[in-house]
Amino acid sequence: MNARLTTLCATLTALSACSTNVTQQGTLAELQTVEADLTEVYLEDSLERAEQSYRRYLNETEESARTPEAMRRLADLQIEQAYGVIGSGGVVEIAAPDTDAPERTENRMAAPETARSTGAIVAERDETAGPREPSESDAEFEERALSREAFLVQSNDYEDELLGADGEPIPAGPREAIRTYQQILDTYPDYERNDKVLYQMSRAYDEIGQPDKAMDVMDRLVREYPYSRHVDEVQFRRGEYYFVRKKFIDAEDAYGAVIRMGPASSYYELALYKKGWALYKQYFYDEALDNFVAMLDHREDIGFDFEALAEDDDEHRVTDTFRVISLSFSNMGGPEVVDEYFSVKGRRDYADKIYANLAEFYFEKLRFEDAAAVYKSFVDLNPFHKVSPHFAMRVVEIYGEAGFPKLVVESKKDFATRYALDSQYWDHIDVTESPEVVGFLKTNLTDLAGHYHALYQEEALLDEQPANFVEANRWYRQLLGSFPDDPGTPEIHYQLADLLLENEDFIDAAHEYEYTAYEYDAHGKSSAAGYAAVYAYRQELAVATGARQRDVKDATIESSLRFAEAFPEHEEAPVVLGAAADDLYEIKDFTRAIESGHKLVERYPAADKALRRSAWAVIAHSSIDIAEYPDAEVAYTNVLQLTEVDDETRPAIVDGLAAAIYKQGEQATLLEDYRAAASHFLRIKTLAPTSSIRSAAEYDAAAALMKVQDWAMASDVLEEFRTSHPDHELNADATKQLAYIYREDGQTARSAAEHERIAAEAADSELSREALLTAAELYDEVNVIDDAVRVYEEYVEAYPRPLDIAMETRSRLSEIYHEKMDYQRYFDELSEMVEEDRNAGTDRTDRSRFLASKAALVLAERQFEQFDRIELSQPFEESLALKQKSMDDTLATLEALVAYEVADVTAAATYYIAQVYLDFSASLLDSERPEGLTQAEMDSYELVIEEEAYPFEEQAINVHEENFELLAAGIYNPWVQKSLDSLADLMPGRYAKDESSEGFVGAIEVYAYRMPIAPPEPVEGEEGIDVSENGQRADGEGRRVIVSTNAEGTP
Amino acid sequence: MKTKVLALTVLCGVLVACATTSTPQPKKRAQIQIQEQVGFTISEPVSVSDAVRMDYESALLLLEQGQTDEGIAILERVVAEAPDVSGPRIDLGIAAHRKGDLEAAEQHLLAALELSPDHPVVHNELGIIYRKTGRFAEARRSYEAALAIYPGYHHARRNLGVLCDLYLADLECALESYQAYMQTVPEDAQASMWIADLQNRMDRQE
Repeated sequence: MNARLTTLCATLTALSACSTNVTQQGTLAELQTVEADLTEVYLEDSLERAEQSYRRYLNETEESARTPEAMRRLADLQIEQAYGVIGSGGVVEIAAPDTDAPERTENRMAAPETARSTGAIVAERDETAGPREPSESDAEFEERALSREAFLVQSNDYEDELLGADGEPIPAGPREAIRTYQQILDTYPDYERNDKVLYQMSRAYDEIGQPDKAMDVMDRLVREYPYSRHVDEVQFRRGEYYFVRKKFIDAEDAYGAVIRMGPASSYYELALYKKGWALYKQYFYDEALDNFVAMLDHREDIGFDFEALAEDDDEHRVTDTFRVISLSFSNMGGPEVVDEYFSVKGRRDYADKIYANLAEFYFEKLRFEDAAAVYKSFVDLNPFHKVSPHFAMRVVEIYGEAGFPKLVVESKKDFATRYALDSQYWDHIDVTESPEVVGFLKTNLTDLAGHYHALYQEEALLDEQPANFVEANRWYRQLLGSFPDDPGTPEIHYQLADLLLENEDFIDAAHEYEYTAYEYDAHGKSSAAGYAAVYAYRQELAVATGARQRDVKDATIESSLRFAEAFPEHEEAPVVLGAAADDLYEIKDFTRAIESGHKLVERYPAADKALRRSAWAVIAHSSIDIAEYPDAEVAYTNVLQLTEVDDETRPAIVDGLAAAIYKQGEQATLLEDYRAAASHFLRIKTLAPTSSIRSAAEYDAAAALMKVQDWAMASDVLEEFRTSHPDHELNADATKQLAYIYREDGQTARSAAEHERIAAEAADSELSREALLTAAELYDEVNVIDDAVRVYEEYVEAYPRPLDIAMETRSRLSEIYHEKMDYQRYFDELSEMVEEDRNAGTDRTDRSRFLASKAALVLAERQFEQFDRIELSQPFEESLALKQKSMDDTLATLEALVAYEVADVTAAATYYIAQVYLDFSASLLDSERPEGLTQAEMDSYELVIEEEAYPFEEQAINVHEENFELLAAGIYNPWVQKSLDSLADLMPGRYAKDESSEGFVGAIEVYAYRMPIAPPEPVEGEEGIDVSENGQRADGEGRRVIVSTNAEGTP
Repeated sequence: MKTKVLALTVLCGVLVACATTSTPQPKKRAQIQIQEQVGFTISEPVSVSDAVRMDYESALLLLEQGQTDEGIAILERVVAEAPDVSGPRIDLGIAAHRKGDLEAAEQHLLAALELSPDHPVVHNELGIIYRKTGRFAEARRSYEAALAIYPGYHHARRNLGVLCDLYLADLECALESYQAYMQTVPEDAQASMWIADLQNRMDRQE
C-alpha cells in the first residue's frame, strides 16, 4: 500500500505537492485565509488522516463551489480505504491515461530477459526428449486469457448489498461513498466533474460486486459525457461486460468504440486484443486475425522488442496473442494458410514469431508434418532471415522427435546445403554472430557423413553403396571444408579417408590419410593416419598396372618416408621404412635407398633381425649400383652377420660381399693403383672364401701384380691359383700369364716350360702351335739348347704348316746344329728344308723358296768344298776323273740354285761356278806330276797342263764377269763383290781399282787440303791461310792442321 | 793466287740477316776458304777444352797404331764433349769404316755433314760407303758434291772414275774422271794405265 502511494505521488503531481507541503509552513490563523488544498495528496501512513481532513473541511466550512469536490474526494478515499486504489488489480492502469505510451512501453521493456527465438528454444531442447506436453489446453488457454481481462465480472450472484463480490460484508465506507456520489449528482447536477463522479461511482459498484448498477452508471456516463476522459475505459469496461455475458456483438461494438479512439487511448491495444477474441468466439478467424495482427502491429509501432519477448511478459498478452493467432490459423486450415494470410495482408517483421508459434502449436498437437511445413515454409520464403536456420534446425528436431529418420536425414541435408559456410546465406548474416547455427551445421554434417558412411558399410545395402559413398564423401568433405580448424576435424578427416579406403579409392584415401596425418597439429590419429596412407598406397600398388605403377610406387615411397620421419616412434615405422628402402632400390633410386636403409638400422637397432638384414641388403645392393663399393662391403658384412649359417641365401650374400670387394679392386685398377687392386682382389680369398668369383679375383690379382711388375708375387698367386682351382676355366690363361711373367722376370726357361704347358693344354691348335714355337724360341733365347732343339723338332714335326714358319724353324734348327758342330744333322736339316720346299706344291712361298735356296746354297758350298778338296794326284787319270765328276756334280748343283731365282743365291752360285773352274784350273796346274819323266817330257807335260788349265781359268774369268755384270741388272751383293775381288786378282789391270781416301782429318778448328799438284806452301804475307811449321794456324784458331799431300787407300 | 771465301750459309748470306728472320740457325758454322789450284781450308769457330784436344790426339794416335776399338772409344768421348765439331765425327766415321762397321760409319759421316755440309772429305767418305753398300747413285752424288765444292779434290775425282768404270759402266764418266784426276796427280802411273785400258775398251765397243 505504502509503495503504491509512493508511486502515485511520483507519477502524478506528488513531487511538487509534496515539496510544497514540506516547504510552505505557516500559523493556524493563516488556515482561514487559505483555500483548502484539494490536490490529491496522500500521506504516506494514513488514509484515515486524509479522510478526517476532508470530513473536517466539509464540517467546518461553508458550502461552496468546492464542496462537491471535497465530497467526491472523501468518497474516493472511502472507497480506497476499503478496497485500495480503484482498478489497481485489473488490466486498466488508472493513472495511465495521462501518460505517454512510449513511457509505458519502457516499463514493459524492463521486463526480465526472455528466452530467445523459437530456434533458440529448439536449440536448447534435448533431442532425445519426446513431444512436449502442452503447457495448457486450448480451453484452459482461452479461459485464462479471457479471465485475466474480466475484472468487471467478479461475480454474478451478488444479491446482498451488504456483501461484496468476495462474500465479505461491504464496509460502510463504500456504501457511504456511493451515497456521497449520488448526493453529488443529485445536489450538484452541474458539477463539472460529474463524469468523474459517475466513473467513480461505477467503479464503486464494481468494487462492491454490483456490475449491473455499475453498467447503468457507465451507460449514463457514455451517454451524457461522450467526451469524458474516462469514456475509453468505460467503453472497454462495457465491452468486457458484454464479452463475459457472451454478447460478442455488443462487446465488439464497445471494443470498436475504443479502437476508433486510436492508439492514444491506453485501452486501444486491449480493445484490439479483446475484439479479436470476440470475433474468434464468433468463428470469424480471419477478422480476428486482423485484430490480433493489428495489436501486434501496434506493439511494433510503439517499439516493442519482439526479440526480447518474455514468456511471462505483462499479462502474457503478446504471447497469448501469438497463441490465439496460431489457434486461428489452425482453425482456418493447413499450414499453408499462414503464407496465404501474409501474402494478402502483407508481411510482418515479427512474422517469424507467428510462424514459430504456429509450428510449435502443431508440434504440441503432434502434427509434426504441419509443424515442419510451417517452419520450412518460412525458411523458403525467408532464405536469408536470421531465424531461418533455427527453423531449419527445429525441423530436424521435429522429425527426430517424431521418429521420422529419413525425414531427419533429408532435413539435415537441406540444412547442410542451405547453411553451408560457402552458401549465400552467409553473405547476409555474420557467421560469428550465429555460433549456434554453425554448431548445428557441424553437427549436421557430422551426422550426415556418419550416417551415410554407416549405410555404405551396411552389407545389406550393397546396391546402394555407390550412392551412399557419394553422400558420405560429400558430407565429409563439406564438413572438412567448413571446419578446417575444428579440434574434431582430424578425426573426421580420418573417417573420410577410411571411407575412401573402404571404397577402394586407394589413392584418394592415401591423400586424405596424409592430409590427416601431416596437415593438422598433432592429434590422436596422426600417426595412425600416416600409417594408413602408406597402407592405402600399397593397396593401390597391388592393383596398379603399366606406367602408372611407377607413379604409385613413387608416391608410396614418399609417403612411407614421410611417415617414418614424422612418426619414428610408431610401431610400424621400421617396417614402413624398410619397405620404402626396398622400393627405392627397386626403382633404382639407390642413394635414397641407402639413406633409408641406414636410417632403419641406426634408428632401430633392436628392430626385427630380418628387417635389419633386409635394410643392410638394400644398402649393400644399392651401394654396388652406385659404385660405392667400400660401403657395399660393410653392408654385406652386416648382412652376413645377420644371416644364419644354413640360410639358403647365404651363398648369394657371400657373392655380394665378394663383388663389393672385387669392384674396389676394379676401381683401383682404373686408377692404375694396381697394388691396391691386387690387395682387394686377394682379400676375397680371406673374407669371402666360398664366393664364386674368388678364383677370378685371384686371377685378376695376379694381373694387377703383373701391372706393377711384381713378378714374384704375381707368379705365386697364379701358381696357387692353378693349384687351388685345377679345373678352373682360367687355368689355361693362368698358364699363359705365368709364361709371360716368367719371361718378364727373366726366368725364360720357366716361361718356356709354361709355354710348353700351354701348347700341351690348349684346345686351340693354333694357340698350341704358337705356344710351342714360343717355348722353343725361349729355350733358344736363354741357350737351353737341348730343350730348344727338342721343342723345335717337336714343332716342325707337328706343324709342317705354315710352311714359312716351319722353314724358319728348320733354318734355326740348322743353325743350332751348325753351332753345335752337329754337321750331319745340320746338313740333314738343310736337305730337309730343300725337300720340304720342293714338295710344298701350292704351299710354297717366296720365303720358303728363299730359305730353301739358302739351304741349297750351303749344301752346294759343302759340295764345292768337297770338290775343292780333291787333288789331282797320281794316278792322274783316276783323280782327274774323280775331280771331273765332282766338278760336274757341283756345277750341276750350283746351276740348279739359279732356279730359285734368289738374287743373292744366284750370285753366289755364279761365283762358285767361276770358282769351280778356277779351282779346276789351279788343280791342274798344281796336280801331282808323274815321276820318271825326262826334263823334256816334263816340259812338254807342263805345257800341256798349262794349256789344259788355261781355258778353265778363262772360263772362271768369264763366269765372274758374268756375275759382275749383274750390276747392270741392279744386283749388287757380296757375291758380286767377291767375283769382282777375284777378277781383281785375275785381271788386276782391269779390275784392281780401289777408292782413295783422305784418312783421318785430325783437325778441330781448321782443316786444310792441298792438292798434290799444289805449289809449295805459301810463305808469310801471301794470300791464304798461313800454316806454321808446327801445324798451328797463324791466326791462332787452329791447333793442328794436317795437309793432305797424297792419296791413301781405302780401308 | 786468288782466294775465295764462301760462306757455308749461302742462302742466308749474312748471319745478322738470318738473325732477323725467325728461322732457327746454328750459332756456329764451318766456313770453307778455297784457294784455286792449291786447296781449301775448312774453319770452324769452336771452343774446345784442352782435355778434349788431348783425347782427340790420343785417339788419332791409337787409330794410326791400329788400335781401332780403343781409338773409337776415345773418339766417341770427344764427340760427346764437342758435339759441334765436325773433325772428330769425320774421323769417327772413318774409323768405323776401317773397322768394317759401314752402318756406323755412315751415321757418323752424316752427322758430320750436318755440321759441315760443304766438307769435301765428308762427301768423299760417304761416297765410298755408299759404293760398298751398293748404293751407286748415292755414291756418285756424293763424289760429285765434293767436286762441286772443290773440283780439284783428287780423291773424289779418282773415286768417281772407279765408280763409273767398274760399277756404273759409264766409261765416258770414268775416262773424264781419270783424266781430271791425272791432272791433279800426274805421277800416278797406275791411273795412267787405267786410262789406256779404258780407252781400249771404249775403242772395242766402238
